[in-house]
Amino acid sequence: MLDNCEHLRESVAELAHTVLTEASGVTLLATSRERLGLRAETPLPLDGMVTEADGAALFATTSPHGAARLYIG
Amino acid sequence: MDPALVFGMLLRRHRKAHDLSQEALAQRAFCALDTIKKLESGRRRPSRQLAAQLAEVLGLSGAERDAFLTAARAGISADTAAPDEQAPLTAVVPTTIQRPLPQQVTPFIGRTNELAHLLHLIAQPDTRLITLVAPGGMGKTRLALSAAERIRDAELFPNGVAFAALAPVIEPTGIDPALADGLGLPLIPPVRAAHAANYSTICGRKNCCWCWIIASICASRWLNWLIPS
Repeated sequence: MLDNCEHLRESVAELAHTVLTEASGVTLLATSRERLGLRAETPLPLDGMVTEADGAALFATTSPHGAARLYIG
Repeated sequence: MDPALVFGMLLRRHRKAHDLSQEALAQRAFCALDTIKKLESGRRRPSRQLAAQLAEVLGLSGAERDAFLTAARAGISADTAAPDEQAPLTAVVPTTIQRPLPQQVTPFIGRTNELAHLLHLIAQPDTRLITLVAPGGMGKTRLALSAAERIRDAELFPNGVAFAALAPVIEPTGIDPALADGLGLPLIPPVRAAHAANYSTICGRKNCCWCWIIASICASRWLNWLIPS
């Protein structure tokens, strides 16, 4: 896992390319504000929305009153 | 004649007999094309490990193999052999990742669908690089770490899971040390290119483990980084 690549994108892309070429059994998971730009890359964009179930779980964990239902309009 | 050149000619003859290009031989022996070129032209001597690997790839056995290995090392005394050729490989580098993943201090909440999707993607054999893309503060690291923990627990990758923290790295030259740190390796590269084949042998899976990366990256990158020419 390569965490927070955005400020070193070109160099990390070069490293990733080397690894992907040299080591067929290795899978890389990167996090970055922008994709690395390699052809073999699967970008997975994250947005700010959470699902209703996620929200409820978050509320249930953080609320002192226990479980509650969170509605997202 | 120079023993290095004698071996070079021998290697070339065996390679031609197998109708292999230099590229094909390099690929099969898990070494660089440049290494083969230098060996054949007598500009480089092989380590014992590389010589044995080449003999195997070339299908040599019996007296032919003995002659090949003798020629490979002719004129090299134990004193003049490079230190990396003397160190036992298994003693210096473990074959599974030793450094644990960073601890998450609070439970992972939310991103249920994304986590499931991410785990599904990682499990696909043809997926090699996934990048979680989002602005800062959206939970990329948490999601990736949660996936990494599950993959580790499921033992999806036999050599383990490693985390390289690049956020504190300022210059590109800091990437390799961060990678070494994440893999739990010493900063001084413990291996050389000639050992790459041995690492894949130790792991039992040729050309597909992280040791291979270390061996090849050490050779091409770390050495350059540590010993500026």
